[in-house]
Amino acid sequence: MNLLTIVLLYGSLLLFFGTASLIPIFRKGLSARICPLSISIISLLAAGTTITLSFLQPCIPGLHFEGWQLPFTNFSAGIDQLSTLFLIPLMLVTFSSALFGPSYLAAHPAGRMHWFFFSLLVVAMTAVLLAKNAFFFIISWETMSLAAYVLIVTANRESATIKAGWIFMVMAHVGTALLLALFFYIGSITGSYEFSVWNHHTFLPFEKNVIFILSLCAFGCKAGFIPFHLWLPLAHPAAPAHVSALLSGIMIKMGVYGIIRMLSFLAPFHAWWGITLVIIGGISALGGILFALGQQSIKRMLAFSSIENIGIIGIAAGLGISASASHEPTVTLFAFSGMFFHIISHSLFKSMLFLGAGTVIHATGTGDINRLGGLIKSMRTASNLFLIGTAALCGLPLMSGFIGELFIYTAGITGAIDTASPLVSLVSMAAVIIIALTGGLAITGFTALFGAAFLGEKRSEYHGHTEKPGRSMITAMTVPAVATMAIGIGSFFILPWCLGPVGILLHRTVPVTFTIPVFSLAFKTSAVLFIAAGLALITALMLRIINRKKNPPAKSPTWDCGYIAPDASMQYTSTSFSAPAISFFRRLVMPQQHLDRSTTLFPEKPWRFRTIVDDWFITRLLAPLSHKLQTLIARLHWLQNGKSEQYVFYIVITVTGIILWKLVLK
Amino acid sequence: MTTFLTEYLVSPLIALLAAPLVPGIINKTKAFFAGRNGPPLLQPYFDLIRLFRKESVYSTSTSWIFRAAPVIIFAATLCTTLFIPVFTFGKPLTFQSDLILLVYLLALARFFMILSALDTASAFEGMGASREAFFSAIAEPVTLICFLNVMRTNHSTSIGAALSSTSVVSDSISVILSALPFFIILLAENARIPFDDPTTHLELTMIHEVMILDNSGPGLALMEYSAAVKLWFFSLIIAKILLPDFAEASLLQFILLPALVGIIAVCIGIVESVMARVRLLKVPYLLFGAGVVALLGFFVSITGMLTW
Repeated sequence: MNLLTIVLLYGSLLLFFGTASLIPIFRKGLSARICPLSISIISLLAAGTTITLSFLQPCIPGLHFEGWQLPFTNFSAGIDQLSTLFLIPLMLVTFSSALFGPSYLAAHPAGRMHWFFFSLLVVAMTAVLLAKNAFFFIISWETMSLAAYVLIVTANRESATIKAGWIFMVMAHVGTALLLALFFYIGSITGSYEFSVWNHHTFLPFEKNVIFILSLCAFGCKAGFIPFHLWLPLAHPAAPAHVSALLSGIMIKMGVYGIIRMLSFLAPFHAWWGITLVIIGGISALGGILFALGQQSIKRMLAFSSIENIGIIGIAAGLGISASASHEPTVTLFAFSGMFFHIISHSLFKSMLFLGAGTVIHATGTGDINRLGGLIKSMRTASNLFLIGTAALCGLPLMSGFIGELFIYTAGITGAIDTASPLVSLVSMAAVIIIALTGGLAITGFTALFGAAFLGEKRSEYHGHTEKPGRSMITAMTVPAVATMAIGIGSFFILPWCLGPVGILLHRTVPVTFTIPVFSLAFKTSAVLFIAAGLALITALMLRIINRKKNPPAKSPTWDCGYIAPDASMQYTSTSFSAPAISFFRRLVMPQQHLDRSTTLFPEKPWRFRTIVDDWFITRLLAPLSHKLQTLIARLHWLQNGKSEQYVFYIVITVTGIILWKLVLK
Repeated sequence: MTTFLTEYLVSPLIALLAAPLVPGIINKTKAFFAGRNGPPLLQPYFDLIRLFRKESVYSTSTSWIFRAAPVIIFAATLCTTLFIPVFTFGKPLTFQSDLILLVYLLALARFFMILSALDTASAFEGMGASREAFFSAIAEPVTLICFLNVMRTNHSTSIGAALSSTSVVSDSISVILSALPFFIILLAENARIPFDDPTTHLELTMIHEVMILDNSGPGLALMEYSAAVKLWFFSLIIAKILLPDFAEASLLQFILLPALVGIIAVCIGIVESVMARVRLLKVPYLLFGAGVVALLGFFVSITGMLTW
């Protein structure tokens, strides 16, 4: 019964989004307000229903229903715990983004069809999660990429945006091409394009390896593992804030979903997959955070940090896979439940941070961290919400980011200490070291961001839209912020969501006794967090009592160490803050330094020094490579010269070839 | 309730009472090496009392973060002492991978320390915060490897349980490979020489001291108190590692454990007296060295698992 409700709900959702989004074609002014409102209401309803039902019936056995029958395929769809896990954050983030969008677009007008493509993106992502057939999956997947492409390129008319959209398109289609190859390969093995058939098919070890490599590359392009990450740091800053929230919070997770869905057909796993994933995840995590450290734009920094978090998810997946291949149930369970928890938590806090970046850009007209400062005084609520997101991103206790990392660490620690297999020990140790270093660098980078942009004194005059963000923007940020804190404090409430998909992934039911340590860790952590919060309250109260006896605290300027004319421009900027880390890792990050020095003895103009951290995968690797490729391919231009008769001739040649091949074969 | 108080709150209470003694011993040792008489052993207590009685001055640049930071830092630091048993009757709060919570509570403290420094809009405090952030980022994996070494030799996934079991570290190689990097981490995390000079007078070269330049009165007292508790906490862990088997669970521990903490404090004092602060650029390499030593300890125990 409950399942039917969910299915009906998502069906009506698809229908409604479809019709609602058609409005902009007819009436412009009205639809700009009605569309986002209806999208947010429906997505909130959908989120509420899914959450309630997942609590009422935690063990959804999985539902499969046949869709339209087409000659070559049918649009079968279904919902199971793995889809639910991704659906809930999808609906919550859609709600926030749709609520946030109108006021942001008022100052940064986007294309006319913005809300049409926005709802198309959401519907396509829902369809990806519900698809139980390869063709249905790939159609939804492609729709998702195209809708996202349109949302990116219609954001504004800058050339950087077009370039970002172009690279996004190329990467999306590299992924789709690999995905087609993957699906045709599995289809040729199993003789079917139904996921339910794939699920029960026993693959040979060689076939499994091919499927794993293909799905890692195909879905890696969307997830943003290094070196498939190229589009992320370009597309996220280019898109409007609420679209970046959806892209970074949810769409890159679709890549993760794809890998997990494919892996679920392949259990039992091979150990080397786990090692590969830990290596790729480790490179993505470290590389992502190191590049993030050097950025000056809030949104670019957040985009690189998404690569870092995808890396952490990859490390967790790798740890779980290698542990499951070595039959270490505790490590496996902790690694996978940590991975699923981190997926939910990253969706929430990252989309919230992107919305926060949107409020900053909306209010000040700039996203350059080094030009901001003191925002906590002018926009207090938004800054405090941003602080929650920053703390969650750094994995600090009381926030959801901590719990995900705690589980992954627990898997790593248990693997490093308490296993009989040296392989798991080494992989676990590597995972722990990488996550610890990443966590430390994340604190460096994001204290720099928050400290430079929100604390201290204003560095320049702002030319923004309004001084304070509106109520809808604040509400849109509050929902994921509250969710982040709530699941950070009471993590055990949503543990069933994270434990359920583990069974699907491993292709077996997880015994209840195995899940006890996970729950016990969540409970005890919450208990300690309450003690810590209590201690903080007691200290604050005592401090208050001590202070009450005295005069009210005096105010004075910051002590200037004897310098008589301190200036806001003397504050440490985000770039100077992270300079030690950047220069220590300079061989990995390759920062470019520019110094405009004056040559005269008495300088007439000030010297200027700039450090730029560019994604050298694009500037030093991809750009020369594609340039060489272009000169090579230019020699074949005569093949595609725009004459239709010649194209028809190609068809004739192809058909003749097929006929000949058929004849020879017979 | 009474069992809760006696079992869990023993460690934090002892930490609260004894922590300021550690900097006192360090200062006395340094004075001895300098040929001075030095401040009294209890001077840190007097300082704290004096600061708590003063009134606060807040900078006009600061926000609520600057005022809340000392409280959060103090609570988070004190909370970490819950996990480490002082004597065998003081039961620690042990559970699987409690050390992550411990390390991240310290990270929470650091996070607010950095933000409160940046909140003052002072270039010097920003400089200190930048160094603190980067050096701690390098120190974090090293700290974890050190903890994991101790836990691995005890086959326990909980640091509290590992440190309260009767034989913490049995053979001498493991003792050296666990305790030595831990001592380096202690110096780094607590801003001691050779990483940072707590007594320097030039803001440009400071790390920890420059970050609390603008704190005053009770706020500064809380900052100093949490620094002392953190120093106590790290010294206690090393003392637990070094505590010989026979002393555990006997009356001897009440003499030996405080004596060991005292010896560690003296060692810190000696290091500070005979060494100079290294160049800031060299600090990451020093931490890296500690990490390599700790990793060696881990590999030594891994080799025991392999069949040759």
